[in-house]
Amino acid sequence: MSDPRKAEPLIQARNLTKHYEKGQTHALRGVNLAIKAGEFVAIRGPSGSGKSTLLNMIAALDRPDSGEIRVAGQDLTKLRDGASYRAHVVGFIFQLHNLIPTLTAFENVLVPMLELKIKRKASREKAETLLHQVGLNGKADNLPPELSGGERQRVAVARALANDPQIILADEPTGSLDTSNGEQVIELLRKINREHNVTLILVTHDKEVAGIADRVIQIRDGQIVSDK
Amino acid sequence: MSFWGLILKNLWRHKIRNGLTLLGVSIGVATILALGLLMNGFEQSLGETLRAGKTDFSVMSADAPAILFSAIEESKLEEIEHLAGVDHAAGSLLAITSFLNNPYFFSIGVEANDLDFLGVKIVEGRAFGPQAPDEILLGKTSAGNGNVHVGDKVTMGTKEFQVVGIYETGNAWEDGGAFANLATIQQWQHKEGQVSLVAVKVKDGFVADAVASTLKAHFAGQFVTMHSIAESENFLHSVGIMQAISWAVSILAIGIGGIGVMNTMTMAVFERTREIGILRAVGWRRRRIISMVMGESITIALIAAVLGFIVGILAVKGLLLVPVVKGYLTPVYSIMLFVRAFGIALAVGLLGGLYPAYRATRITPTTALRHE
Ligand SMILES: Nc1ncnc2c1ncn2[C@@H]1O[C@H](COP(=O)(O)OP(=O)(O)OP(=O)(O)O)[C@@H](O)[C@H]1O
Ligand SMILES: [Mg+2]
Repeated sequence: MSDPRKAEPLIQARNLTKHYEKGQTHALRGVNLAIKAGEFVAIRGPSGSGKSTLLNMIAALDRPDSGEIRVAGQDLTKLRDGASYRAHVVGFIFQLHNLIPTLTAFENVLVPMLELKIKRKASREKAETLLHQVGLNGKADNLPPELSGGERQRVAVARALANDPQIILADEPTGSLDTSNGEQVIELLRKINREHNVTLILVTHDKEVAGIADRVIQIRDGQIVSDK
Repeated sequence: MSFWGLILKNLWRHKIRNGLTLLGVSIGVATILALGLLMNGFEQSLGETLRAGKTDFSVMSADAPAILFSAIEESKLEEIEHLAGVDHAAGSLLAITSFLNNPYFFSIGVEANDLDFLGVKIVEGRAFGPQAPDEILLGKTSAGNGNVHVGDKVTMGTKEFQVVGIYETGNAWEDGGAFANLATIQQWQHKEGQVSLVAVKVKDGFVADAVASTLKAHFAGQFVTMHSIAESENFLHSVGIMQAISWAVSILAIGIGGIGVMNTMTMAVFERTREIGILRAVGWRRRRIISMVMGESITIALIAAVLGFIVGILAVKGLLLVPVVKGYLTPVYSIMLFVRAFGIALAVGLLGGLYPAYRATRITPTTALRHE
């Protein structure tokens, strides 16, 4: 199983289980999943169904109790610290309070690159390009409290792209936004997914958002109940 | 923004809190530095007293607990001078009196023709005459402190003297005292025929150590000789006590400063739980988180060191403005002292940063991100 065959999907999960509070809460109960490079996958499900838990597993932010998860040829359960994997493979966007409040938009985008030994000049140029790409070139020096909710999420998108990730994981990135701002952010992510062939996995409550995705996975009580 | 820039930015967020911690550490550094400067000066002055002028070593009585209590019969001077290898031996009698609101004023009685030999340089007026019992030389510092000039009359204890000159030896203790005829001080102190110390110069071609051994053997253990400060047990004892005090203060400073930094940084880490979670989520390794927290605490300590140097130097300068202190304490600056104070500050930063850095690595991104 460990030999990387040509057809091996980018993300492969087998029988993932996870429970919290000494077995009281079953966040995941036997999740099997395969996602190919370049896919746009939406994950839906009621609150507490295990969507964030699954996303955290793919980000190596959390470990399964049992089962196996491989991403880009790496066995995530064997990583001592997922940081290096995240620094190189993944870009993460949260629902709220994504940004370091005392750093400007520009500096927030620089943060992941501090871990990557990128030359100062190159990283500054890259941060500028990314902010331009998300339509925020005029707000580079604004602090998060000086930005609107939509702008903040676009900074988070720019930051998620700073390490040229293969995968972008977004946990309800539009959950705190109004419809039009939310659409803007989703469109931006979709564009990135198409133009850079970045795999996009997005947790959402929104039916319309899910409608744009290539594939929608429904989760209920820690299990996948539909995958279309 | 660089990693370093981020550290400074983080510190700047709590400028008052961090500033107060920094102030606390800098007071510790200042105390260590000031103590060290004065102790260095004390060591050096004492050392110079024992190595006065052109002498190779000094002789004092073996049973005296301190130089001041040393008593040697003046008649032994000639005996010493006749020993093989001795070129010249000069006796001096030390006396402590109250003078110019200084209760511990040093007067030294010597023969007029030994002044030059003992390194006493007249900077104003002239030396006292060999047969002039009322003439006195005042040290540069004591003359300055008492605003006394050549030609003035001064009263020491019950005796009146005529100031005929001002001298300088470069030794803080001596420059804060006075020189008069040996006979005058002997009479005044009722110590006729007695001296405290004998300064010895050996002839060319002789080794001071060997001559000193001959001398000690000749007087069968009656006398001890001091070549350098290191040989004075008494001196070593006082220096030892002072060093112990200075170490105790340093350890206290490390303890208090370290806990202060630890407290501030632990608070900062707890307050930034979510942020640290974000940094971990975007790929920062634990090592970098540790570097960030330790970097912040070390930066506090190093800025405190620089501030402490300034405060310490100013404090010593301020202390020297006090008349009684002036002249008796001369700070002696040495690189080692600054290196030590800096090292102590660095230790404060390192120790203070360890616990909060450890706490920061225990923050798991998933729980941190649930943290509002
Ligand atoms: N660190 C934790 N400690 C205890 N229980 C947890 C922890 N993380 C998740 N859970 C529990 O696991 C279950 C799944 O949580 P998860 O966050 O994955 O749900 P979700 O589908 O993302 O929900 P929402 O839509 O509300 O974000 C929930 O019952 C939750 O309370
Ligand atoms: Mg969730």
